[in-house]
Amino acid sequence: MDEEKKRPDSKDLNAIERFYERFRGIPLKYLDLFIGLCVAALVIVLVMGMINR
Amino acid sequence: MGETKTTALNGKSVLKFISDHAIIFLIILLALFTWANSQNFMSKDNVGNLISNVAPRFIIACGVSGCLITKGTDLSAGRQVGLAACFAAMMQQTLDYSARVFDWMPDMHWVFALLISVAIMGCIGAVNGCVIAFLKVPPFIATLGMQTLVYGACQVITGNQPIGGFKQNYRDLASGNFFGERLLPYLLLPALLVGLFMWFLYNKTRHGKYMYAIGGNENAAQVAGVNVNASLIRIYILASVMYALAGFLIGSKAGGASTATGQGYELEAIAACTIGGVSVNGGVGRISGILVGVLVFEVLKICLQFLRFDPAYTFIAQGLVIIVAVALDLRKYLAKK
Amino acid sequence: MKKTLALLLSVLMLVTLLAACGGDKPTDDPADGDQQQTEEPTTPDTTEPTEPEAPAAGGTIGVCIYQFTDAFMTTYRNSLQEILEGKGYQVSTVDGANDQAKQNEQINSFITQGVDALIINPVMTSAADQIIATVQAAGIPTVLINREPTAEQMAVYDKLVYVGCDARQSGTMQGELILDTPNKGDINGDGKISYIMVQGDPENVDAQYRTEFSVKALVDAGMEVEELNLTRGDWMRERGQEIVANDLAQFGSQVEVVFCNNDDMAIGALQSIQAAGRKVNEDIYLVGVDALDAALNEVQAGNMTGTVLNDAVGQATAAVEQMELLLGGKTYASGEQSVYVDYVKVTPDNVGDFMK
Repeated sequence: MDEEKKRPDSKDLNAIERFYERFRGIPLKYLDLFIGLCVAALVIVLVMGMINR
Repeated sequence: MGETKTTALNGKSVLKFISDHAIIFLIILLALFTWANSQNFMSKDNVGNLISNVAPRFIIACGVSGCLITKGTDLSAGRQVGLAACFAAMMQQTLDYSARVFDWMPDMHWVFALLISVAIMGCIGAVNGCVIAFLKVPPFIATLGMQTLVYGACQVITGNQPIGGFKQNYRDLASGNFFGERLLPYLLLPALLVGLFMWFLYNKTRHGKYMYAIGGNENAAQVAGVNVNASLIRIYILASVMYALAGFLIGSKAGGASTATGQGYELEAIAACTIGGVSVNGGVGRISGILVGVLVFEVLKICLQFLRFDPAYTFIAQGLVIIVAVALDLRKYLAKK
Repeated sequence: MKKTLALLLSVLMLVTLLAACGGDKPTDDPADGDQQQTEEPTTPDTTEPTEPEAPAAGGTIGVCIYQFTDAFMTTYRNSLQEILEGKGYQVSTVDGANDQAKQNEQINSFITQGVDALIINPVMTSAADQIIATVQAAGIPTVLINREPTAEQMAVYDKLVYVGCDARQSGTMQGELILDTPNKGDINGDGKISYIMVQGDPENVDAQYRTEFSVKALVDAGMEVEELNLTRGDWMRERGQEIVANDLAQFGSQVEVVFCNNDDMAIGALQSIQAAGRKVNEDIYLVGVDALDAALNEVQAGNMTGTVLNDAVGQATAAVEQMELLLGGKTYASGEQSVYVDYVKVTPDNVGDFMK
């Protein structure tokens, strides 16, 4: 049962997962914030594009 | 295990659903907005255009999906599409075209051109698969190398001259419609067939099961008796076959092919897969999701053109969509483990 | 935090939905001169006296450019936009990103949107058949610009016209610029002009003709020529710089003239020339085409022997003129479908006329 809790070794992961593992230490809420900001940026870009056409 | 299971349709589960699929909802809203603010958005012509645009990209995305599901990738997709388009193009020029590449070639029906392209590209896929499976080169590196190689090969083979002067019936493949009905472009058929075939392959065959198993946990799959190498090679060959088909169709669509054809298509294909739920988690991914992912990008592009966006904003918007897709995927990965 | 995120998302989407219900955007930004917000502008300001009938007030025009990052086409499309909007049209411009399949999709989309006319700058002229077939099927008046398909390709459709420059002329003018120099290009006096050629992309007729006719002008004037090297630069500044750096390293002082098919590559070439310690107009000659602002500066500063004005504004004006003729109902017989605008030689003497 302990093995489920243990983090996977780096040799089991491919390149993208190794990249993802770097964010392991960051609490999920910051990631949510980032996603929210990007979505907001997307909406702003769309709106700006419409105003400026 | 303190969280309550939200199977009921309450606010919490709805919000979760929306935030998991944020991009899709945004695009739907954008489409509605575009519909309200311009003419002909919901016309048969436009839907027909959408289908024609989606079809080849869907095929490419299906090809890449196998690589992604097994935790790999295929960065050579775009260039392979280009090479395939060039091959098909070289075999489909009209006999009296002055700049014919293969002067010695007799008039060949497009079916043969397609089959020959597929055969050649299949070999390239096999090389990819072998390098990844036997030499254990990470797919990112292997396919990156293949990307440059294929581009170089394309330049040598075409002599860097663009290829044009296609036969009418080859060009018609991408611009014609069944029964003259705008909603049923010819391109719909290959996309439909590919979709059904891939769905069947992924869900009803052993190959599909092996693929998901390898993606979920390669070592466990190996221990359980799956021939991982054979599966991987099959996956990359199949991917290349898809690229060949897509390249053939894109050559017809463009009315010309050159070394620049297909450049960068892998980025959109991978992004579409990611939006559609094929994640780096490996072992997951559905054909329906892939279709949704491709639709998201194509609807976005059409909307932005209808709304007369400055093209610079189009790039920014597409980039943001990709970033959000990757961030959501990252989130799912971290939340799962 | 996830709940907050979801809430934020919902609020944003609600706002967008409300905006959608709001209909057309109000003109609340400061008067920006040439921005057309309304769908029905007043009657066009200028009516060509030769038009059969003035086009309906306003109208939407779709413009397809082969690649937005192309310096010359940027001047061109800005010019087009200004002229068209000044006449009261609604313009929508899209970037083909050097992808013919993508451009065809954009053309299809424009046709679906129901634009009144199209101005297209093809990505690949060899694929022009497909473009022409598409616009013909839709019966939409089309002006092709800057990249010329063959007369046979255009002959199938009568509401089609090409506006551009005769590329041969630009090549000939480049040759003439060299002939106009004190030693006619033969700096080292060995009786022949040794040159390196930096080419655009070979598919483009402009590249082919400029390459051919620049040298032909020299030969026709009785000079002997020696081509040291010919390399493809794809119209890009960085490539121009690399190619000339290589050639100077290889041939050194043997190089007397550097021909570049366009100014962007010529400016890159200038970097390499200066880096190699050479001085233009003293021990080497450099010519380009397009008369970009950066090049005009260099001509004035004596760092470029000359350039040839690819009259973007003149071509844009002619393109719009032809478009209005098409909208007024004019058709073109095969063989008469190309309208040419002249190039202009730019030397240190007249460079001041072209600088803003």
